[in-house]
Amino acid sequence: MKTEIAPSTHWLIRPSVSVIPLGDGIFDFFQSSTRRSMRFRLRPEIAGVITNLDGGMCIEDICAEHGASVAQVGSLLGVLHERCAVEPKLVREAIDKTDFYRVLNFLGDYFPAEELFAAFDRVCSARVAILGCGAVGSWTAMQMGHSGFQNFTVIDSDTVEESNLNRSIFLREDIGLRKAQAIKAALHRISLNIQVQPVFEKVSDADRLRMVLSEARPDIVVNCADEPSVDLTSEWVNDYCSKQNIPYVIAGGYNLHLSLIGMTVSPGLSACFNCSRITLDQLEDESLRGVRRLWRPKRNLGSLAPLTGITSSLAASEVLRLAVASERLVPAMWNRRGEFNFLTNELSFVDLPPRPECGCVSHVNGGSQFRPTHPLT
Amino acid sequence: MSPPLVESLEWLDGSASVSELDARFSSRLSALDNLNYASFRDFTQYLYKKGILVRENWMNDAFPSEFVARFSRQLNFFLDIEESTVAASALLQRILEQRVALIGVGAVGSWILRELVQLGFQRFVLVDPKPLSPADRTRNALFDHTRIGEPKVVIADRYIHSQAICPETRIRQIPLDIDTDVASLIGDDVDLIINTADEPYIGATSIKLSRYCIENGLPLLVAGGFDAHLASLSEMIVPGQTPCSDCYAMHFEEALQDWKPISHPIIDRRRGFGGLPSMSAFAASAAVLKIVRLYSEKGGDVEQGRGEFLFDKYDIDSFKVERNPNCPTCGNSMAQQPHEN
Repeated sequence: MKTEIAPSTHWLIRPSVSVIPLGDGIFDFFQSSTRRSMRFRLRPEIAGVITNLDGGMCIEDICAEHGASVAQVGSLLGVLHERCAVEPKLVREAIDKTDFYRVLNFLGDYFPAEELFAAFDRVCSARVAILGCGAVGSWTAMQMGHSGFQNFTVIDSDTVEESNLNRSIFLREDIGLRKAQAIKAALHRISLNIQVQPVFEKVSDADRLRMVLSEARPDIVVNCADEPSVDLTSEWVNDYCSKQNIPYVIAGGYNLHLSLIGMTVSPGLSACFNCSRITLDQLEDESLRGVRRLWRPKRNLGSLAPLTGITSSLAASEVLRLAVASERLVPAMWNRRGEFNFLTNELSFVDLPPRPECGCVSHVNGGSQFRPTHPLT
Repeated sequence: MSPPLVESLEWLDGSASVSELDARFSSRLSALDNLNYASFRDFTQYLYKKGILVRENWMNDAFPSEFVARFSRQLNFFLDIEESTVAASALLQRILEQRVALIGVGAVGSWILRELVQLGFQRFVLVDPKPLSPADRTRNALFDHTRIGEPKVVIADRYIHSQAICPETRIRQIPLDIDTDVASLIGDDVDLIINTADEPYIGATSIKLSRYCIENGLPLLVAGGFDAHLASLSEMIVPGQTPCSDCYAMHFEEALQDWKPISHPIIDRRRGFGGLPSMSAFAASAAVLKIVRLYSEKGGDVEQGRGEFLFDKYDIDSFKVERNPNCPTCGNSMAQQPHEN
């Protein structure tokens, strides 16, 4: 969509965008939040206008000062707006006035100014259900609360114990409280406007989950539950979400995958959990041939706060990408999962493509066409 | 491994002594009518040396019960890294004892602090001149809307005292400026400095702190989290081992000599930069991992190099910068004081 730039309007280079002259009339526009660049070759009088865009003068006046054509500058500004390098002064003033300017400036690398507030409104209004409020669930909820999300359903029957404090957001004074209740209190420290529905439910089968989610009616589900196992809870989430066409994120952070970056699923657009199982089973068949699993019922498994931090940061980012519901910023974890290596600081990914033999609808679209996952506001 | 030994692995759950299991193993071999397999005792000895097999109460032997209750899962993780219960316990002990000066309790500093306290760090010197503002709700891990207007160091201090088991803190509600005397700001008993202060400019404050750290043989962590480094992997500077901030400055002066942005037409850009809480959490977590590696015996390379986590596709763009032999601060002509844990 190209915006008409009226000569009487005031525009500026977005404050987080740097302009670097590379010689020969070429200019690099560097979006510092996302470290992405775009390059344009500009005639001197056009460059004079663009590099001085501070919102002070209207386009007509600044073009007159530099002897540039209003039509040509207007056309270029349309492109630069679409590519998120410039914004109208009115939008800048609106961003400056809110407490969410950091998040808006960040999203502004993906959403042109005229779409920005609508995208952020979708984040605020998205109803998110978090299944499992342990280390990763609690950290993910908090990052989402800080980002502007305002509608949560948090599902967990556990109570906070001393041994949770080494890696979750829970505080000493939370010990003995239900985890879901403690998360509600933590989110309310960020803002009382955040709606939190705690569900003290031990989800032990697919039917129970369906009942809980049917009541919560979420736009997005985040699975952070590893009891009885992540595979089982993910299967239940997949079952419900596929039927209801609800996107979901499978977070990591559990045994053997303390720093897993889980996959994101948008039914009909990406591989589903069952597709991923087919691929992972094949990979495991090859790597685990001859391996025998020991029966060890009483295990006290390892964990580390910063690994929880990394896993939850990626889960929270994926929920944000789902919540903006736009092809301008789609999930980065469709059709793959990743792992962060403690020793080397490296991220590695495994491709998990849609599998036709799965029988889900993923192979129909394969992520090629985007459609919003919840009603646009 | 012989099948009976594989079978015996499942017996090692702490419910029986090695002698008792050795007897059970012998009778198992008799039942199989095969006495040629390796000794069960040798096998357990081997697993013990590798840190795979541990004494059931090894944590309680090393720490009071309150610490075991809090840190048992973390000790298990340390055991995986350090490969012995002695080294794993020593790593937690070091964490409990280190005094950390945290300069800046903001977008990344607050997330670093929460993770450090979770890990067991409990001795801090906190430096930040500012009060909590309404806009901190999008970036500060300690944000509480009922405490807007209170100094951030006071909020952070209260957090440490409410969470740590044996807290010990000092707070300084003043900025780190170019002319600040570092020793009088943070004291002379600090073991690690973390710089997250992006005002006046993190490059300048880091060079100042780096020179102080090289002179005093202290490690310095320069965290990311600002402007074009929202999810930087941070820099760990260890005197005598890694490049210092002057080395980095010289490297980038050369590498970026053709990359000179025009003076931005917007003069005051303080509310113009972006950031996501999840990016801050990533930057903080990467920084804290470097701190764990610093104090670990087998945690690998302390400084794997500079890196940026890129939000677009979740790639990590990293590269290694070597120490500059001509560095006026830590180069060959300077006496070095290697860091010791």
